[in-house]
Amino acid sequence: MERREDFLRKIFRKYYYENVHKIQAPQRLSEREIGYLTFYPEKMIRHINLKSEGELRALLIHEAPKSVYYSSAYYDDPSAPINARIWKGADLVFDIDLDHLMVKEDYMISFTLCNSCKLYFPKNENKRCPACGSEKIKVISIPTKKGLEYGKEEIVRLMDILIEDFGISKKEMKIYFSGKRGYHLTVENSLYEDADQNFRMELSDYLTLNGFKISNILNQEYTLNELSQLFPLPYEKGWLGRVSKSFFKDILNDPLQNLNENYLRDMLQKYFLTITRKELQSILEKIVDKIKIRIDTNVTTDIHRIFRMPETLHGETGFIKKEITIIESFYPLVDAIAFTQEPIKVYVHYAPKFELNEQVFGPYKNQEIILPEMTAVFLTCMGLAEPLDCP
Amino acid sequence: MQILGEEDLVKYPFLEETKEYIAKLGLTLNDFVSNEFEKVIRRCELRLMSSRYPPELYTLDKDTDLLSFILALIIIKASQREDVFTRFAFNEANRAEHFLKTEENKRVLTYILKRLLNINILEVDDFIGNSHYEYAIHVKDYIKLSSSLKSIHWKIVNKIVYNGLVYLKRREIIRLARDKIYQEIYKRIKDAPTPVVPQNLQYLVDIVKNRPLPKRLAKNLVPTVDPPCVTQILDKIKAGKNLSHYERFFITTFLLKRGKTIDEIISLFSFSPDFNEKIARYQVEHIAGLRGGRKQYNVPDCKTLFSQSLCYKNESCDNISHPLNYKLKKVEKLWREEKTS
Ligand code: SF4
Ligand SMILES: [Zn+2]
Repeated sequence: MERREDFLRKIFRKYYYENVHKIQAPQRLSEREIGYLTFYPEKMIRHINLKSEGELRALLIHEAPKSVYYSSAYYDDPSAPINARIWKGADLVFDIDLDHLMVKEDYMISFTLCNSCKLYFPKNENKRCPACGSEKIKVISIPTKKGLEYGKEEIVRLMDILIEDFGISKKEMKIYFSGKRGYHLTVENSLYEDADQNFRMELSDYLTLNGFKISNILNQEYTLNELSQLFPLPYEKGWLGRVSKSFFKDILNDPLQNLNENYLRDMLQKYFLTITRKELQSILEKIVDKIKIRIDTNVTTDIHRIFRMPETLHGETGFIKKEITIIESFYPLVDAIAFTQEPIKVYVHYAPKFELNEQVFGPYKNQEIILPEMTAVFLTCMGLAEPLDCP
Repeated sequence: MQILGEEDLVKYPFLEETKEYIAKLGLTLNDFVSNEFEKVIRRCELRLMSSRYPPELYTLDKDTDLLSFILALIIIKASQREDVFTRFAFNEANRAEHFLKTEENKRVLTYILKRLLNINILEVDDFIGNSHYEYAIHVKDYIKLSSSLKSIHWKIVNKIVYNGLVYLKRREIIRLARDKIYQEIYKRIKDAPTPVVPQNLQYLVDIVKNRPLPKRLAKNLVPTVDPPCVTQILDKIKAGKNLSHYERFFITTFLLKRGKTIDEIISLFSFSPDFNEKIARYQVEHIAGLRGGRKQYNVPDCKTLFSQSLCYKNESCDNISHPLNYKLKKVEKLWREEKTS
């Protein structure tokens, strides 16, 4: 076991040593709590206060941690115990993870590890190890390019809502590939910085449409015919406009080229003649479920959260948590790769066919193989391989 | 620029501006004894007697409404009945809400809303569906102002939010203002010095003193008194002792019901030697219904606590069956004692 951690720690240190100039401290570093996870023994060190970027860089090279975190909150004394600190505010933070998105088979490659007999096997329905029958099994997922592209769409939709509905400017937002299966968005220096937990819960319910009443649109007091004259139109503000947009595009198959009110209302009136109120209700419910933003609400509502630090390595993948400047041309499985093509010999327990840096690897099973450093590190981080020759 | 006219002051007698107006009249309490204030006294009696205002108080009486309001404030203060402070503030706030809803002069309405809510208010004129949106306020202000309103209707997810603003119908923003009116009137009575009431008006104070006690006292205004079972656990926490699983569960449900936030509860638990923030947060959030089954757990009743050996019943518990009822009984008792002594 130690061998694996030792290998990773050395190679992480090499990365930090060579890239230290690229590591920029988060703004107002000295007001944040810093924490990190050590490789061996795996231990979380928290309540650290760093005064400068130099101190941060020194810590990264010296400790070569498995993961590094910073608080989204600003404190008077970040190293004090949590209930003795003065909370001064916090960035708004959002996490979009493939785990929370609509699961589609090809978004992630998932397989299973039996913790009892260490057998790897494809994901199956019966939640048991096919060899020993144990229920102590763990699902491991590798995101695919397709899944990560879908995550990008979600983060773009989130940005649009933060801009349009909450008046947050692009300048105040930063987006990142999380280093594993998703994306992070942070809002710094906005007037929402001092927002309390109650605000953040409301915001998160807003984004996930939690508690949204269909009766906002389908008012019981009106007949369907009357509703065709009251139904929100695609250019309306907030969620009502978005629900309407999806209704016209996905249900009425209208490309929304013509936004003339009479034209739109005519279409509604005709369509409403063909359905019942109950059917309309269920159509609207489906739309709401489709267009809600699938953020991890625990992250957004926690005002003491620690969050992975940008430009540091993710201990479970070896990828960089990378800031994204132009989302359209950002490809996590290329742009977030930290390691090289240098050949390294590893023993792979199990790996499905997967893609990294536009190269295809696997499937592998119980074999020794020479792989590029980036791939060897990835599989070792995922716990799927053991290093054979150490750098 | 003078926005409010004399009639507005009569209509909205809780406004600061009325104080100046009253001061100019140069009245003292003794003046009210004279016959010319007969009608004011009658109107004041009506305000003092009703636990819920009758329709006639919902129509404006220009000659008496301002003075009878002021007189009622004084008399209620003299009665020292806390429950009447809140009842009166509640009734007056409802009455003001009624007038604001039907206010024809939008300038006056906007002025009063700004004055009460003390935030930036934008006048807008948007029709969406068949709803008319007349005001917009910043979403941060909105969430603060609406936090005591429990219906999901008030969640921002059910509001028009655009460019950092929440769009509101007239009746919605007035509803938000109503709570402020309530608070201001309550505070005004609470903060006032206890007046000396002339003999001839003493019977008004007695009217208030003799009003029947309400069934349920407004909970945020009575001092919080914890039942012995709760004190016991709180003492244990403060002494740095570990709690059993059930003790933790009970105290969490109890404190949540008392309006403590998740963070406050977690920081309380941090006194425990076996405190682990992550686990504590998980447990508290679970009990609060933010995780897992998303169901908020109820506070266990006395019977359950007794069977868990957590009941430390003494005579102060009376015959209550639920620890949440503790404070009501106790405070009611104190009042009864005060009244008879
Ligand atoms: S009687 Fe009820 S309130 Fe009193 S100590 Fe027992 S459980 Fe607590
Ligand atoms: Zn097995």
